[in-house]
Amino acid sequence: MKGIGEFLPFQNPLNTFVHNNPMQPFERFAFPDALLEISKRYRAKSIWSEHRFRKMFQKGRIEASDLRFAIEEHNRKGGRQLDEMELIHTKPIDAGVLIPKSLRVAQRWERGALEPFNRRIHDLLIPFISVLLDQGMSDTRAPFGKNFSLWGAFCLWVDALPGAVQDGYSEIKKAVQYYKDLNLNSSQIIEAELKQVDLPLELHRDYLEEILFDLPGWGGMIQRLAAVPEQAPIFSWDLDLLDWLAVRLLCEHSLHRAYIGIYKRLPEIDEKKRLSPEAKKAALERLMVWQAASERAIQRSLISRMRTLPTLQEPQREAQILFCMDDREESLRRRLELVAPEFETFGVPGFFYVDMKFKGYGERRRRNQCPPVVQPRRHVDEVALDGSIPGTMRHTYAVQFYSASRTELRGLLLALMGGLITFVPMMLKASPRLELRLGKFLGSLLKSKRKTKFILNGENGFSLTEQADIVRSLLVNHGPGQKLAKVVVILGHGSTMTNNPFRQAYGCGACGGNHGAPNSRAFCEMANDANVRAILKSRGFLIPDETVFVSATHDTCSDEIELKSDLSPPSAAIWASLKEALDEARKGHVMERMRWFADAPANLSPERALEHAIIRSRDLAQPRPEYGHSRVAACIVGRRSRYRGADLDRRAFLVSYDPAIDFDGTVLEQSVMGTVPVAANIALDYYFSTVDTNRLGAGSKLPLNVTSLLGVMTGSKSDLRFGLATQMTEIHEPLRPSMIVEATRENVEKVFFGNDRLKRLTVGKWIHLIRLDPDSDYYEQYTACGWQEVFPTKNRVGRANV
Amino acid sequence: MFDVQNLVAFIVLSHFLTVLIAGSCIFFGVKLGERAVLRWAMTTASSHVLLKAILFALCWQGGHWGQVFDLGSWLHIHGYSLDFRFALDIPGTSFLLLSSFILLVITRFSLPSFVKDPGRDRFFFVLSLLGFGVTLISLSGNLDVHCIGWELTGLASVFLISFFRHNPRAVENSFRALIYYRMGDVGMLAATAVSHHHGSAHWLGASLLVFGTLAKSAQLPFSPWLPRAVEGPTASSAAFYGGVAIHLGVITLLRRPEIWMDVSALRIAMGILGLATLLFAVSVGRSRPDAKTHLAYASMAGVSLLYIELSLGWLNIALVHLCLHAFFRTWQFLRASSLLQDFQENPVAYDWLKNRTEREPIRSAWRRKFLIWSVHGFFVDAIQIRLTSRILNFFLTIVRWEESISSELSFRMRGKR
Repeated sequence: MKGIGEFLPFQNPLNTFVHNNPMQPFERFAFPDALLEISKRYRAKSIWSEHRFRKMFQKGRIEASDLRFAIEEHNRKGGRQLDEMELIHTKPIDAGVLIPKSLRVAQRWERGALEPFNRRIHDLLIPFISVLLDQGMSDTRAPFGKNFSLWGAFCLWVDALPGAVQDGYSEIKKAVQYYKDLNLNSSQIIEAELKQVDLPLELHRDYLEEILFDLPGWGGMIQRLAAVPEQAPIFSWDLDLLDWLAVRLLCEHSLHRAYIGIYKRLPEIDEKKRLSPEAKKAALERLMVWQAASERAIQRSLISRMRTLPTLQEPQREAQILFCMDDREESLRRRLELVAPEFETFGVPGFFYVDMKFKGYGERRRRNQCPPVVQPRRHVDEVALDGSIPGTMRHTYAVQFYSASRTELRGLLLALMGGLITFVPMMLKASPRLELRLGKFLGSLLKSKRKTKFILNGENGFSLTEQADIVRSLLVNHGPGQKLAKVVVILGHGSTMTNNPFRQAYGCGACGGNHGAPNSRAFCEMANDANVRAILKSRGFLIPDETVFVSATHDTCSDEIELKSDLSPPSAAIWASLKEALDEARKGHVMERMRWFADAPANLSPERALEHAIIRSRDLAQPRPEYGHSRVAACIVGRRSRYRGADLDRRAFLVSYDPAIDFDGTVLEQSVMGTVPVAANIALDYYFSTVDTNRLGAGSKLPLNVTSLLGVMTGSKSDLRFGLATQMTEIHEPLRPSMIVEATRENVEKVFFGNDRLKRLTVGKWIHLIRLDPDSDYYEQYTACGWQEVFPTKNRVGRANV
Repeated sequence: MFDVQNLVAFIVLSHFLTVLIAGSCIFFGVKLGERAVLRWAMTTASSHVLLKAILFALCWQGGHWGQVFDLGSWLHIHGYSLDFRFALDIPGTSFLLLSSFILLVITRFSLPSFVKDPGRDRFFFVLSLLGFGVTLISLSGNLDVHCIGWELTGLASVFLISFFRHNPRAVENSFRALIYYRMGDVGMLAATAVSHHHGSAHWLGASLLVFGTLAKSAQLPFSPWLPRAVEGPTASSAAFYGGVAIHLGVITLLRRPEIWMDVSALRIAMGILGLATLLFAVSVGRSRPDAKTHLAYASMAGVSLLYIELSLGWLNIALVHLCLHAFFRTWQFLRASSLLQDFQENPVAYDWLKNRTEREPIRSAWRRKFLIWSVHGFFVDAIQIRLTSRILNFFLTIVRWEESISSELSFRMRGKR
């Protein structure tokens, strides 16, 4: 029973949603074993079925050379040998064969009896748990105070139920009363219940896990809130996962007893019709060969694109732009360099090393503007220059309106008034372009032009030395170092969209899913500060006086780029030409985005495309405002000059790193630690949500229903959904991410095998690690048999410096 | 120039053609391109709004209220003939305009949602079915035509609840809705029969009519299907349970006050049922921690208020209230997914929620029991399904018995061969 909830999905409440690998607990296994374990527990397909891979093969996405390479790699490991004939021409394997037979009693009665049985239990448990964990969505008083455990609350709940009303309720009441009289705690209850099960002892744990994973979303949320109660936005309790398991087990067995009268017999456990473990392993190996082949196809495509470079002018030192490493920025950077190659771009972690707890103007709560693994300690506030505090009246009215609109009399009056008012937005819905123009007009009228400033070194803020450290480390690790231009733009990004419970998933992952604007502005204020520059000068890091740091933001959904600070004349001229170049780049970038949307108007001109992007972001009805990180396949850590201008089709995270200045690997370590795990999380999150969207993802966005302010359910009652929705993953190919690192072998091994998680990911083959030699065009991949060269070119000058 | 009768015929026929074309595309497996389907849906929806606006304007100007005319008849059996009789009155025509406007908004709203969805054609077909049904209900001159529309809208609602066919819970909930609808339909059909026998103002016909409207309007005792009906896509939930289908019962009664207004016992019963439903919907709705069922109960409460207004005889107020309620609830349903965002962007929201005195935990056992009962919908659901399943089990045993006999026989016959 110990650690039974270990493999429940790792997810945060929706307001702090951030891309985590929900299957992170499985990372301790090697990837193929992890897939088996995931199939077993979640009863989900953890890899694409063979017919999908074969379709990709027929379409030419996977070439014969990729398949042969994957087969050879598999055959080298020993064991059963595969060949092309078998993979292409025999009966295709469906990934569902990896799912083991259910141990639960209900499915032995007759075919299809498990589903309705589940529903009866869910009809009781889901209202219970959603009301218990409710953060305040309902208008009534909370039924239980903080000093109730989950089991205690359940006892009270069941007490209040009338026994005769539903099959099984009387049985549940009897069982609860029995255990209450004995005054057992939940682990003892579980043991007592297990005695009634007619399975052999070694299957008991599997049985318990299967029961627990019947509602993995709720289980995972309970476990998360039990471990970190502060994650809950408003109310938190003392929760225990074992209580939940005891409750669930009790309901299951009580309902058996209630139904046994109807079915009157308990058939034996059926051993046939499921694959033996050996057969499952063989099936999985075949599917893994296909998976490896499809990943190799992507790697081949990316590396060949990195080798076909347009000839571009060398960057002059007039302006430099630091983008977030996000894959969505890849096309904007590439277009900018094509249009204006005199500007230099860099890819840095989007929080710009400013790990802060930020409180914006008018906000009451702080949010962590940094990657989830980093614990920020410093506080930064945004206040108005004139010291005013914004009024909260209209916000209070809004919340009261929400609450009152569902009551009787107040609801009636509000419905009458509201009906009159909502006529206008409803009419506007019929014509989105009109709505856009009107919205712009009203926005310009109502937008508060209040000037604000950041307080960086207030109470609990960043001291000047810390600020100097931040500026220096970012510029040295990822940026231009001391070779600074006159204008350095720090471009953060975020995403505006509406009517989307997964909004946080589209934000800047390095800022915890929030908008990157505060970090960009904070960094610029630090770097522009004369005191900070003085400290840096005393340390030997000289920032030229004429260099100005400019803060900007890119909205990845509506593709608007906004400048945040004022500039004096010489920089203003450079900024003007930069702005023109950015506008031009935006147009190309938007056209690239629009071709993926099936409902974008045909034959768009660039101006119309930009307008359409804005409409998509403001449209209440749009479930696909942007495709987020869909299609991401790689993370490239290295010098931009190696692949400047390569068309990577928005499929890679790009981190700037210069191996020439890194002798002992410390710079690589700092560069990789903040970026590669984030990239891995995002890619793996997309992988699992794509392969089985019903069990490992959130299904379609359309029937999703926000519950308890913690998460979403499908329809009126269901498990709490984790993972991503279909509308976010439909164009994604499930792949393990490839990390292409330009560094010496020594440094790569030091960094990737020096850190626990990175080592697990690399050795367990959750990510592909490819090393690009800094001195030649030589790629090698880390495999089980050590480093092996991949994708050799015909004309390679010089040997690799290993 | 424009003959009102011809316009009504044209409207009904165009709706029928829309349904026919959409249905045949699905039936014959014709796959149209994304943009073609979207453009077609928007064109039909906007043209319908235009036609109905013209109809409303013509009636208003020409004073055609109360006009009844026949557009043909069908089925002549034993002296009964199904006459396609249409009547123009203020509640009907204004609801027609309102509902087609809401459907236009819903169509526009759902266009991006179904872009790559395999169920896209199904969705628009069912929406057109709703449009057709609502047209028949709003313009019908006798209960026969009304019943056709009534059944079609019930069918459309069931299809949309089970839109996500692979979700077993959605399919089960659609069956539950079907059961409630059929019970109401029994009342409707019986009322039609009585109206043919005894003429319109008869107490039995009136009670059956009111009984028939209760299921669609989710009034007690036919309430439990509504919160379970939010399994479908948001757009359809908004159209059906926010704006259009939920008000059909009230519109039926508003259009025929001469049938039930004089039966005072019936009006008292309506008022009592409306009040009971109001209290039920508000207590259960307030305890719901999820957005869509919360709204479903709020909708139920709104409709119960309409029933109370009807029972008091305030017909004009009821009509106005209905229109405003329809707009409001549709809008709320459409925005249901923004809840999290609204709370996040509102700086005082979380603190306000935390400090609410109403959130103080309950200490008394009775209040807790009341809350738990209201979370489970006072078990109206469970009790009714238990009763129904007893009846269904009886038929199920007969079916099983028949299956076992037929398999035994076929085994023997195969053995003989």
